[in-house]
Amino acid sequence: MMQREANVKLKEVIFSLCKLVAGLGVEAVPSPETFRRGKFNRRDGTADLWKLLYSLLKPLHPDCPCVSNKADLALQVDFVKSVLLHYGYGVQELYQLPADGSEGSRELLLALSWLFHKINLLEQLLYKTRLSLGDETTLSLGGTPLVEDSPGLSAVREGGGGGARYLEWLQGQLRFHWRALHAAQEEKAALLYKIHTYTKGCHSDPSISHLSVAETRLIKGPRQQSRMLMLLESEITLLESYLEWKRLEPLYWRWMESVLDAKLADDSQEVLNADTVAMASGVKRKDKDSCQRNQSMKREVDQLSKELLELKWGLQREASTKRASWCKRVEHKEQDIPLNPEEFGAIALKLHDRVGQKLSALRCNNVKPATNTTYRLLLQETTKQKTLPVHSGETEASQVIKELKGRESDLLSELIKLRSDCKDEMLEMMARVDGIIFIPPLKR
Amino acid sequence: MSIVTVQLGQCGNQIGQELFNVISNDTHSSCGQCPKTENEAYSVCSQERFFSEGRNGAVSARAVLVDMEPKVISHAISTAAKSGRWKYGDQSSFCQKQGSGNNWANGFCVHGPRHEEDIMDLIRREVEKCDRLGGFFNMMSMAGGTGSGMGTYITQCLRGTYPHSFILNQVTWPYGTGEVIVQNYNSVLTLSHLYQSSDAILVHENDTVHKICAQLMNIKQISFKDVNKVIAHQLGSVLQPAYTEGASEYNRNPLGDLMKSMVCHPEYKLLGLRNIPQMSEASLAYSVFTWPGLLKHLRQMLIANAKMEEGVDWQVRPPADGLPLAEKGTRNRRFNTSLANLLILRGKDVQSADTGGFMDPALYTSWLPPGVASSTWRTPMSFNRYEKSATLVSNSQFLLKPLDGIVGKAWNMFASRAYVHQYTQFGISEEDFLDSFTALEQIIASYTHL
Repeated sequence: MMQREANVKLKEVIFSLCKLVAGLGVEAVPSPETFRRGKFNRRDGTADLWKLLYSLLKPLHPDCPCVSNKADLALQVDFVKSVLLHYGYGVQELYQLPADGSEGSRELLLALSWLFHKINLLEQLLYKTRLSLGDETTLSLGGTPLVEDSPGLSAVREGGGGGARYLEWLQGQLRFHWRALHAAQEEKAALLYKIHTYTKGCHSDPSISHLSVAETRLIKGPRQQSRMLMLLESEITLLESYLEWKRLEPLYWRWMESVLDAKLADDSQEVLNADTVAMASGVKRKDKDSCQRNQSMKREVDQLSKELLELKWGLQREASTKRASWCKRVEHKEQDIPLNPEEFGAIALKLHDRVGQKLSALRCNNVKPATNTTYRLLLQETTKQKTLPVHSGETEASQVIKELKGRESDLLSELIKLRSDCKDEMLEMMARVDGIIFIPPLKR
Repeated sequence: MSIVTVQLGQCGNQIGQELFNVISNDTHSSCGQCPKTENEAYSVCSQERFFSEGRNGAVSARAVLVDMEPKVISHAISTAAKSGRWKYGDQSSFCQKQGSGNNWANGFCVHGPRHEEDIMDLIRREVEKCDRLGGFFNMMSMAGGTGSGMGTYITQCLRGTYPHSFILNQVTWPYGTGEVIVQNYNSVLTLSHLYQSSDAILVHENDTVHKICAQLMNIKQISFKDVNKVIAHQLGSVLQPAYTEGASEYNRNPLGDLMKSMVCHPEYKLLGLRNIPQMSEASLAYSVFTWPGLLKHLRQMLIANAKMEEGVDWQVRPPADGLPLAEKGTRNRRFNTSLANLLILRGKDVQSADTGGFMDPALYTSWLPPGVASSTWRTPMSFNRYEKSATLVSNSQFLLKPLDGIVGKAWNMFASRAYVHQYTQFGISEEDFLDSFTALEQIIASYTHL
């Protein structure tokens, strides 16, 4: 009796999940039966689960170039594996699953649940399918952009001397594109400001008080209202199915525990694979098969760890030599000056302060991870001086501007330093070459 | 997307007034062969680009007029007002009582800084009227004092105040046998300084335009007005709305699109214009052109470095395919290598025009693929009553010889320090001269090794 009740409940849970997933725009949603069979690692329905994972992960990585639109299962399997690797999923058995997608439904269920929890997969997808009001702006704060191995560098290697000029051309073109984008953004901001000021006092919510772009468009074209209504209704249904899922979620996790138990029970009976290859190599087959972006990231991680190790050894060496010399100097000093306790205390305090200052100066570039958040712009009277931290839900534009300006000056000083380093390097190189005069460009 | 025109000096103001005239006439003449929607889109785009509407519906040009003497400016303003269709804004001009006496240093070091605030104020007011600033179009001559000296200073200020804007400078190259004795010094200083602040420098040579007037338009007594009209026609054919490749709306960023296709490399900023057909109004009614004919002619003009339609050397050919780079020196010296070309086609059946001839890699330098180097804009609207009109904006070696000539003559003068005291007394030192010469030599070298 209890078992049947549990079964019915389970079916309800899975059904709500399937409904939510279908609402999020996934086309081929597997039936609840597929999920149930997955627990027992049945082979049928595995392909459906691979396709489900692919459809859920693809919207989050739209610009990954390694996947075509065609429904090629092998490519989809590869994509899912590389994305899971990117997020740090450490279960080796998943990466050893065959590329034709015939086995491993249980592993896929576990991976899916892991994604739900780890990266809030469903919430991210919900966020993406939100209705846009037109007032949004994205802010990218913190972090330094990773320099990826761009195709331009290969052009230089191939093209010889001409390649550098082509690169300069491309850089100039990029600069012009950027300027056009900048002008377009300024225009957008000016027009948005106009809309907000003209519609002051029109909104029913007093804390907002002006209309958004989408709402203004509705006033201009009343015929759009039915369409807007439809969109709003579908969004409400989606949110309702999400709420339903949230209500039943604890049961899902309990079921997942049973799936995990089933897996562990099976594993202890199976003979462990003798040659358990490393997790990364399971994905890294041939260089051209693997995802380009993951490759470059792997390369960078290797590079970084190598540099970190070198840095560590270098610092240790420096520190030990410095310490030895300091100890000697301290010995000499001690012989010269007889110190009494109060003087020593005062000097020690001063030194402590100076060291603290120097350390804080070194710590200036606190590298935060790059965040790309979308904010809705609201035009409000400046009332109280609320200084909210930038990463909270709500913030003031002046605050953001201040932080961005600080970032800008940091980057600018870094650029100036890099430029002067480059110039020194070039002067040094030129000094070694005879018969050539180095003429820098006209001062700006 | 609006362009703010800054007319500097006598030359700039005269040509500017003719330019707005051409644009206004072109916008108001309806094109019989195009549907009404096309006409409307064209005129709306053109109006937004060059004119602003005042409160009482008065159409005023988005322009700032700057000169040291009041004569030319007042003439320009009154001529514009007489047209009845457009006028200059009431508060858009700046002038003083006395000129710069063709002294570049006077314009650059004295008048420029002294009047910087007032002039930038005028420009700022014009910019604020724009919903979206498409860039600045500065018109000046190279040889005078106000236009070239102060104009260069103002361009520098513009770059400082609007660092992300597109700045296109139109410079008029003086007559080879010009009257101003220091015109070569002025030209050298102007070009070297403009290279720093401007994005692109569009050159018109007085000698060339004079020949066009004489031979093509059959004008007996050529006045400055005729020359200016030709230049205005050529400029208008570039700046009026057109469709970039694959676009379904008139381009809203003309200066940006122009720069993207032509002047991305910081060492190659000199642009030349060729426009065909050009003829007197009387002959216009009796002439019929085909696109293949026009394009073939234009291509040969480019290759043979011809400045106008007549007297084109048809013997010059581009090098054969597959010629290795090492043999570049033995190439036909009269052949004009291009870095980038932009074709602007206006008129009837423009979609059928085949621009394949300009995609020939032999025309271009080796390090830029012809797909990138060559672009085409089109519009079915006819321009300035020419049923078909083709313009070529070209970043090529065409200015190499004149530039070399000017630098050579200026250097000869400088070697004997002739007239240099006129400059040093106002603040341009001999060091500055040497810097300018070096910069220009670099530009000449870059273009020679294209």
